[in-house]
Amino acid sequence: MPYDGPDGPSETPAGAEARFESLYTECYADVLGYLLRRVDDPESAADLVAEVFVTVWNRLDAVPARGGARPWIFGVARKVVGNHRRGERRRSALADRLRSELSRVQVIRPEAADPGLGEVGAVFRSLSEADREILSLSGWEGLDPGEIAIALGCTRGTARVRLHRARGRFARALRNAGVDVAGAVPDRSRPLGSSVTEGAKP
Amino acid sequence: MRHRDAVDPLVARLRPQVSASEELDPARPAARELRAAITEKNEEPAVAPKRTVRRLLIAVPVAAVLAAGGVAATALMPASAPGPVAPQEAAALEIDVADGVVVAEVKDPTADPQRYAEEFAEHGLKVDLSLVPASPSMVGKLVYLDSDMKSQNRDDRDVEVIESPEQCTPDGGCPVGVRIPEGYRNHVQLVFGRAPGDGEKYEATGAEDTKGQDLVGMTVAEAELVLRNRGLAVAEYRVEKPAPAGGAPAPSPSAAGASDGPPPQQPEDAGQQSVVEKAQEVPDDYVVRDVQPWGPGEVLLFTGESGD
Repeated sequence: MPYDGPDGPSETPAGAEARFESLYTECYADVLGYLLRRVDDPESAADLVAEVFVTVWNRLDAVPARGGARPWIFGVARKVVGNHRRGERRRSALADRLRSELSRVQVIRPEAADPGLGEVGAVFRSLSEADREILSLSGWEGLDPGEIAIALGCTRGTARVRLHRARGRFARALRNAGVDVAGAVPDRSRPLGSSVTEGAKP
Repeated sequence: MRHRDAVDPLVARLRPQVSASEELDPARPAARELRAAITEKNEEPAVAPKRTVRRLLIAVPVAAVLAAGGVAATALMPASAPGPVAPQEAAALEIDVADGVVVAEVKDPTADPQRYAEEFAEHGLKVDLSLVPASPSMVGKLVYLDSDMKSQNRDDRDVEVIESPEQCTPDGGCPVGVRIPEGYRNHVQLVFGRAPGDGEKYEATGAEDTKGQDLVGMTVAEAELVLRNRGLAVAEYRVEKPAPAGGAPAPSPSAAGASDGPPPQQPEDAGQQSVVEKAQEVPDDYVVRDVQPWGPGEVLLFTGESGD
């Protein structure tokens, strides 16, 4: 039996390129959207998306199969954004053209358009970065707890607990800020099938 | 009411919307060009990424502080101190434990990062510490952190970033170190900013050093005059030009990535797509669109033709 080494079966260069291409096609829009929602200027999203996919290419053997790939790539994007926020600036020559193209993109923050949301947004931004990230991975990117676990590099159970706590802290912070949580949510935006509530507790 | 019912719809409503969502299409020429460039310019076999040994010329002494109940690493470095060259046989790091705080000080700033790694390893930690040239406000600041959360048999605990009250990064905040849980199993990569050596360009820049936004909209001639008065020179220019009109998404002209030369210009397609080119000189009447710190006393000017 051939020995494939500690990293398991190796891919041919052509196979690697095909896999990268399909990951790129599948995840590019979502990852770029993720980045655009989290950085101040759309142009830096070009450098960041280049960095994310350079990492994906360089670590192709570490990308989980099938459904695990997309959240794994979000995990890479999360770190890239973290380093961007920490002041790391890498202008990637690979992204020169994309950068000028993205300079025309506008990212609209709903709080700006909806006055009733301003206070909610302020409370959200007062949460810790970790809480905001897990809430937005769920609420903005639509990741389920299993996918969040892959993106954060933790176990599914840990992801569930962290998400639950982050929700609790957000609800508490809203209450402390005097925001009427129930009133701030129009009924139409409540997902179907979640109408059962536990009733108000003292 | 359960928190998730109350809170999730609110989070969803805060989701920023990206206008012009067609810009997110991976089939657009710029996106395809990036994809081709990634696979062509990063030739190392993806199945066995080689560990490149980064050799850094470290010009300043660095101290890393590792703290109790875990380990904290902070780079403390005088911005202007000359780099003493320690004898090769000396320890690259001096690691002491006092009052429950482990302090690691870089004794040999010219050491290969591998030597720091070896000395961290003696304390049971897998830490790659390196330094990159940084603009003044980022000297001594953490600019990169990777705690390898993707490895198998990973450690689920978090590496915590230590912030100083200053605001040095463009998004506020000022990371100066990390706290690593005791016995942390994952491989941690840390990069701190250091003062640049002769001729080096910044690899990390901070908010305070990103001055020059007041130049945006000036002509190149006006901006250069202002820069000269501030003691700054233009290292390079970038020129934004309309991209060649392609009609429907045609095969990307430089998908082969082989040519760095400028594509032919067809200005009537302005506003649809544009390309950015490097230039050593640009006409005086071009307009400044962005200014970026480049190296000590140097900036990079993004310019374009006036009239749009």
